[in-house]
Amino acid sequence: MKGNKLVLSAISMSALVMLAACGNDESEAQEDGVVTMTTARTLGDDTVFRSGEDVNNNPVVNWARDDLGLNIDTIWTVPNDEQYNTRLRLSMSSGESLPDVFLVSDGQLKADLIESGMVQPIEDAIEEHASDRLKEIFDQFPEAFYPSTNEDGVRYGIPRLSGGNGSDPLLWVRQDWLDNLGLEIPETLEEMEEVMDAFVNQDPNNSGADDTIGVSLATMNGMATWLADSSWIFGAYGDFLPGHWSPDASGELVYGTVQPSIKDGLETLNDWFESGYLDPEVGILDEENAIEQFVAGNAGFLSAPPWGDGWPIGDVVENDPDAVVVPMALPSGEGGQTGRRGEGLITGSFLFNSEFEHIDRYFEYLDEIYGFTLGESDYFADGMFEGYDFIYDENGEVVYDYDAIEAEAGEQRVDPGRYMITRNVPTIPFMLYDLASEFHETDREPENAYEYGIASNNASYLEAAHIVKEQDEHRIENMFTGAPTATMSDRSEHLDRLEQEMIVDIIYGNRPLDYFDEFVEQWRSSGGDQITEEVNAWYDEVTSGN
Amino acid sequence: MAKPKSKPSSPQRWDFKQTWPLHVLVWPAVIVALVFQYGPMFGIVMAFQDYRPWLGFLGSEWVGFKHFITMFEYDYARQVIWNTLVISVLKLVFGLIVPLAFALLLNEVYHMKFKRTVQTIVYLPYFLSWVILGGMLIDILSPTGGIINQFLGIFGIDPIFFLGSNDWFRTTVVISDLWKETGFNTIVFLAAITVVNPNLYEAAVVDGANRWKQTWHITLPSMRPIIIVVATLSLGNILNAGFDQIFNLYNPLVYQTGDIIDTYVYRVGLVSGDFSYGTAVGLFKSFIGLILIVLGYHLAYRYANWRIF
Repeated sequence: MKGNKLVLSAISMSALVMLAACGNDESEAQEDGVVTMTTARTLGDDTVFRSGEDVNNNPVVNWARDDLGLNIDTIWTVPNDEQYNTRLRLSMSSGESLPDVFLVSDGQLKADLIESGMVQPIEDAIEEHASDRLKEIFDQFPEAFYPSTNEDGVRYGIPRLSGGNGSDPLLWVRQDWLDNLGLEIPETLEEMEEVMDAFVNQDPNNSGADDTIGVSLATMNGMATWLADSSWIFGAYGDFLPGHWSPDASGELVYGTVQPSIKDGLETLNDWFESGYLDPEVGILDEENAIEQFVAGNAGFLSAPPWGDGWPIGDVVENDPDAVVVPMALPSGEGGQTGRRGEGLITGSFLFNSEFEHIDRYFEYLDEIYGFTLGESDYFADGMFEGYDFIYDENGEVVYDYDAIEAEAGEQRVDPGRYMITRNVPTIPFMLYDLASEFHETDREPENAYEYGIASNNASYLEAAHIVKEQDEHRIENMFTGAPTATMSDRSEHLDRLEQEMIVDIIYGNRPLDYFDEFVEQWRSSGGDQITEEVNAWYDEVTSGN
Repeated sequence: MAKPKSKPSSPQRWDFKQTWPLHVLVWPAVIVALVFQYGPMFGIVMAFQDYRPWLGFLGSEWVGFKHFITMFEYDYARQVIWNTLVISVLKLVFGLIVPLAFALLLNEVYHMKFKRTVQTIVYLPYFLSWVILGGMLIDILSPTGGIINQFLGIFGIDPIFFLGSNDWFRTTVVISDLWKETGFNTIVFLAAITVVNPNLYEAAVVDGANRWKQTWHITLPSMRPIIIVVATLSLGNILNAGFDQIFNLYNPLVYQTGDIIDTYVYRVGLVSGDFSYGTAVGLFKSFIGLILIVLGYHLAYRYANWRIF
């Protein structure tokens, strides 16, 4: 064992010399009933602090300590997810103790931690310590626990819930181009093709040059991705998306990429490529590269979630002052078929060190911050923290106006939600866009700080959120959220490569469309069928418990 | 480092009192090599296990040669080995010829300022990392508005998708590698040229040899040892087709011709988390590399009388 440790430390030393500086003391201050809970987190550039404050000294941490008696000690931070996962993996393999509570989003890492026995099951803790409103939220979204459930059906992680449809895409179109050419917003894929043809061939920006493409797409990291995705093209032909596991008619989970409707989507993409509607480099563009044409004002359509209103849409308007970009519903295929990538229910799970004894305090904290989201908190009746996300005017009235807050603080407004252990004001799936849609459709005034934050968005954001909500029935979610199965671990690299090559080769016309059938055969025989069985075994296991 | 067979009276005899400063000097290097080069080598046992990080090397299950057998079952594994060989042989051959020719040509330049300027410009890309160069190349080679394709457009040539075409990818990789590395090797060769005995050239001129004959019969033969040394050293690197470069330039469109062992190991081992299989492929690569080094070393000894030990 000694030699074993030596080797590991030698390996980790070379990779992570800098981390050696971060010590880890386990002193558990327990005076006056204050309990210390250690944690670790990523701290990106977008998390800003007021001067004099930091990750362990800010209104949220101070509130938890003073009012709840929970001293949250962030023992290390790293700037991005990749380093975060590496650091945790090293902690796990070197026997260094893990933080008491930590967020994990990587499926493999989660499964490894659960199998290693270094984290504890949460079944009893929920039962004993979770408040009624937390239990209600948990019961509403049982799928949120699937990714942190082990093969015996025991649950290990508290989900960090997403916005539900928060990152679901819709299309954004250049209204000024449509006006220049006297065209209407298209409603079907066929109409959209006519519009794109005009965009490419009729000089919609009056530049006198042949410098426009139809739609910006990113294909480098898969077809159903977080920005400039192509999921809606495939969704117009059937309820399957490349790379997604979704149920077929019989309820079994099947792999999207090998379904016949994908072939139709690829045929369309190949058509569009040949017709010049796509960037010639589409095959090597990732999400951030793909938007370049759109941001430069050279593309007519872009698929992006409602938050795309700020970036990248905002950048287009900066580059091209005449640009008018409006959100539109996803176009339908033949027979009105529509489908889009549905975001997963969670963005990570909180795992608990098996030696941590105060999960009750964690639930208390979580309950309070959820109370804020739901507008029923004792601590945050008017807003989270005075001077941060709200102020009182001379009459004692609550003011949420960001300019007024900044004027009084004399500093840029910061969002204290960022400092919470959930990395943001916690969300309940689908609630955000339901509210946004309500503010778009009605004149209702926001009633609390959380609602004000939503209502004060741009009109086009609210409209986009409304459109996304209206098309909610067309969501295609990836139903497989477990760790890679045994065959996946062995074969996924090969199958992924086979799939990626097939997709770009067909789009570029390097191979005939019928190569798709050959691909499906090959995928099935080189492990795909076995993976499908394993995925369904997993699905039966996690669903049987509920 | 065996003791030389006893010659008690020899002045080169083991004499710690005289040589201890040298020992002190060499130890840090030995320790660094042991800790960072040899220590991690224990990790290759992973190749023979189904390695689980939390079980460690002692707890993980032993599976013998399973991963090596799997490797040869995959078409892709054979393809990446072939790609690695092709790309590294091309790089080795051109990486030797081009700087050599360049050094010979530069040596003929008498205008010192011009010579130095050219040398500096050619040397510059050597200092940039592939992360930066990769980004630059993607822009320069872009079929929409990249400077190379704009230039080709003047001659009526259709845009070429250099980084997205299996016909062009290897060429692009080799030429961009030359662009980066030529400057460095040129300097090595230029240094070798300066040590050629000037008397030989004078004698040749007397015999009526022109510049070309002088180069062919004097400069090149005098440089033979250094050429062989450089070649041998690059032979040791033959299976390093250049992870940084390929990783920053490749994409699914060119996996067929551009995917190499290192990028494959990266995807299998780190992206897919199959540590054992990744290690097995890496170990196989090292094994071939070892054979080539031994072979190269013997050849170098035989033809250039060059040896370390």
